[in-house]
Amino acid sequence: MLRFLTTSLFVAAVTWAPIAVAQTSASVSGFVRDARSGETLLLANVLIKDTSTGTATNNAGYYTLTNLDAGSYTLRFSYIGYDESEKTVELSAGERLRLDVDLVPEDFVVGEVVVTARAEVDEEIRSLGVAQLKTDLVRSIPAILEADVFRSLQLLPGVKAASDYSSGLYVRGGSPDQTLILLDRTTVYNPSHFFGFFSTFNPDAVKDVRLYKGGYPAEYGGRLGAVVDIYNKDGNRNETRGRLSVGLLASRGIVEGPYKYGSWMFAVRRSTLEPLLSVLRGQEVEGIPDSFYFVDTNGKINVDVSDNDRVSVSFYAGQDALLLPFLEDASVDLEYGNRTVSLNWTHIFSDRLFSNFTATSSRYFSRPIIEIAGTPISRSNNVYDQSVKGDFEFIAGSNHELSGGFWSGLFTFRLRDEFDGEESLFKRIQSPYSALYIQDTFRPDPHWKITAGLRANYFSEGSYVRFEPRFSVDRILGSDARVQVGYGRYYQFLTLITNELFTGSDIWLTTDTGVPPSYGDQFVAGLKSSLTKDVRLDFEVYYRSMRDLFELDPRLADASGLEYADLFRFGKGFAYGAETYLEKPTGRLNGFASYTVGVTRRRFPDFPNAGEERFYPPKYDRTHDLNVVANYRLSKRWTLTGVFAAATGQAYTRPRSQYRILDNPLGSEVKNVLVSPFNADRLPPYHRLDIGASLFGRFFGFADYELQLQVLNVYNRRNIWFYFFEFEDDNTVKRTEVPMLPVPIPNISFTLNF
Amino acid sequence: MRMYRLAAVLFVAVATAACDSEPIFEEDEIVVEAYLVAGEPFGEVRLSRLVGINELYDFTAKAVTDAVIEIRDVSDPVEQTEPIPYRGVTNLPGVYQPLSTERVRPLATYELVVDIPAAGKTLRSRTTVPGDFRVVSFAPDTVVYQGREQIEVQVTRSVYPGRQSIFVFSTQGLDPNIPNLTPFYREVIEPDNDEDEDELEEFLINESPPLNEEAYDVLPDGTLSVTVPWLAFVFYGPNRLMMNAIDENLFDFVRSHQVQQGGSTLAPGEIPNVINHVDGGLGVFGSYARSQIEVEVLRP
Repeated sequence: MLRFLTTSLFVAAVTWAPIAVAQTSASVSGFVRDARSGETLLLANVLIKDTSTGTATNNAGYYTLTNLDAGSYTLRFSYIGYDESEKTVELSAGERLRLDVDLVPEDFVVGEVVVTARAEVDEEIRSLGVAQLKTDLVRSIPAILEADVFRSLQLLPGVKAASDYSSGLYVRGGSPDQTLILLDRTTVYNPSHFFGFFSTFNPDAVKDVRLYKGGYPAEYGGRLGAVVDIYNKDGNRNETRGRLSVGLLASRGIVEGPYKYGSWMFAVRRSTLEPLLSVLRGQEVEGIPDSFYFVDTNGKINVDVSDNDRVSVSFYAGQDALLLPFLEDASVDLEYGNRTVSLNWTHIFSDRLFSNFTATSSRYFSRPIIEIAGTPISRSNNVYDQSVKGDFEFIAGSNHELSGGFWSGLFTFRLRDEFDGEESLFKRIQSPYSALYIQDTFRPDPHWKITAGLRANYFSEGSYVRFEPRFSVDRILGSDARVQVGYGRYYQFLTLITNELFTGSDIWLTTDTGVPPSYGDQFVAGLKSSLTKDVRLDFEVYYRSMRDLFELDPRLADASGLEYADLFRFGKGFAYGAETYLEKPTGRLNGFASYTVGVTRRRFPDFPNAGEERFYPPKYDRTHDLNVVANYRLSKRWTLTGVFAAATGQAYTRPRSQYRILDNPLGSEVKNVLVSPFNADRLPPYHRLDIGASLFGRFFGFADYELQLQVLNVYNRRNIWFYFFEFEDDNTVKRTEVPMLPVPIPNISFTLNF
Repeated sequence: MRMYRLAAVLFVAVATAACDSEPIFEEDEIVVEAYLVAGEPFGEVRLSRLVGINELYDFTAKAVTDAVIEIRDVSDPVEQTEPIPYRGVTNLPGVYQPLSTERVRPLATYELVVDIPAAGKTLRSRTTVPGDFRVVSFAPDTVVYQGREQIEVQVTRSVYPGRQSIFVFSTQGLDPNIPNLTPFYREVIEPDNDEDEDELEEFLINESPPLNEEAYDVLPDGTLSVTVPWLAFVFYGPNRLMMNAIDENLFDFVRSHQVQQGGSTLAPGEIPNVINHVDGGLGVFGSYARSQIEVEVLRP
């Protein structure tokens, strides 16, 4: 594998070397950083003033401008939420100038809605299918109990939520397992707390969140649909700072600072429900757990070894625990969580060759134990993923940027079920996997960017080798618009067994003999424009296919003794849609509106009926989806925020008829049977308004404070989550509504920055 | 502007394509219910029609009374056997009884044929009867509820063509009354008082989900060892334990029925139909083999 990569890079280097050697052009490269904290800024813009020539910083905050003739240049560095900076440089022939730049944060941006960089035609962030989320936005949006990264992502076009109770990401018709979630380049397998209510990522610890909704580049792989790439903060390199937040559900804190060799960061968040639970138990309220908490910690240490070498170690550890007695003689005891650790080395070989190497380890565990009437039913479920990866960026010739890399690891899954003290199921899958990619970005002139890539995947379980071509073209039209098209093929070797009601016992299964990987093609096109300097309008259409989908058969009764392939149902699907995104990122009134019209369909042979081959909409399918986020800076101390969401009602199954099995030979229960066309109806339309106000000020002279007051579901809309049909004793069938947020819900939090 | 016009057209196109057409669905289906038990005489057949979801369910009102029914042994595709004819029970509309005392053969395949001349409909369904099996031993025959010792049952293996055996375990309380309820089920049932025994109706025979033969230990003599969980007992006192090896039709019906409203990976509100093996209609024509024992469960 490594030999292939080395050979590829060697071939590339040889191919382009004559051009590189022959030229006497100069270059400028360096890191772009936050002047206050020293944090590197990802996807910051670097532009040669009064030209269309520019670039953006990469995932390490590093940029390179090459093939510059000798002379004087003014470089403009910009990043949303920061003052622009201009640097004038004199370059002699062949000079390799290292220019690290610090950008100063704009003072007024606290609490503002800032989603992506401002309107400039050369922004990488406006690449096809890409959205970047600033943590300021995450913290400012009204949130159910706790600010959440994933719930903020759900407001973007093409991203849907399953319900008010779910932080799962349904991106462009894909289920949550079709989105690769990376934290500091490490795969996270179950990023949820509170049984899916919100995600595990502490917004205080997060530096950058990037969502690739589709047509993502060859650097990423392993999922059919999308990528969420999250980077934690490196830690303040200039001074020791902290933040402490107290909320209704949880409290969180972060401290960060410099040390002799670099910086460090440590963040912790824990639920604070114990006093409330204690009061409720004291009042003998039913269904109150004996114990319930979640906790997560994030940390990072950076070592600046030299100007060209940076090493960091980061970790995440999170856990949910619940002990809930119910009825008489029954209880649930559940623990689940994630652990990740990564070692990262960034090395700059030269102004033309940038590299990054990472060793990762990720673990997900879930241990539910249910005891009913003296009969214990338990499960021990573990996923381990250890990997190494390397990424290279090579500036080759005058117009080519070559990138390549590898990702190799060992995926281990272990599941053990026990019923009444006896092992009823044991399954262990251990599969080495590898991926190689190479990609060329060709810029024939400043208006064109053509990217072609190829990713090769190997998954040991089933011995599958698959190739994924990726291609995109980006054409700048004048000074305020660009047109983009893209195509990619994607393979997925894993599938997630989960339930929308409860994500605490999720299970990942893999391909194997008889269970081929899922695959799909994505076609994407976009039109990005700047209506004014402060208002941008993005429009994208997409079509994606999903083939060889493998999911646990929902009617599987008992897995004992079955062939592995017999656990699954196999099917296919497709999704297409159009998204529009109108954004005003700066100013006193700022915010965005996103609207998506989309279709998602799936089909599994013999489901829902034998012999039936019907495409049906999954529950999360919504034809229309509108989100509006607005921030208004009332004064220097007050900011108002509002979020409005409206969508087509979700698909559901409305029973048309019934029959009953009266002579059940196996038990005394009459079997009431519903007869229905599957998911052929729609729930009532969904809409909801959340509002919030933030007050900023000084706290006894030693810290800045922010007091957030929020109300969710302000006008008390009773959105329906699902209907439940109960057969009554009088031989009628009663429909019961199960609502989403059933009442207006207040939220309050208090944050100190020191 | 041309670009924006194109964008608008695309939006409309997607929105239009997103409108689903209602799937065709028959609401006047015939529902059949019949079971064959290995080694026992042929059982009743029940026929009725589907009932609208907002209608009051009344079997008698929806009974199909003018059907011609027979069950054939189709195990041998060449040799034809005499079919078992059925006749409607006079005072029980929709219920048909066999006009034969013949017994059901284990591992035989039977076809149910229902003709309804007035409706011009014919329903067919086939079942292969699971192989017979028996209890070799069990111990102890009396246990203290949630005590140290659990009941162990040793049974011979049943056989089913093309797959492992699948069992449903049923527990019948032989002295079912409210004071005899075990603590968990007492809380589940929540009886209003100790006399209102109507509420016990659903729990008189408690059934397990389908369980594969491979879930149990195979002893050196080839028999299966089954430990009865405490969860099985709804009542203290005498209990009958029934082990049922079920055919494909019953298995498909039970496993698909139990996920109609939850208990699976489907999203809430997604209700799949039960797996149906009746051509021309709905319902279940299933078979099973059964072996049973009686035990005593004492209060702790």
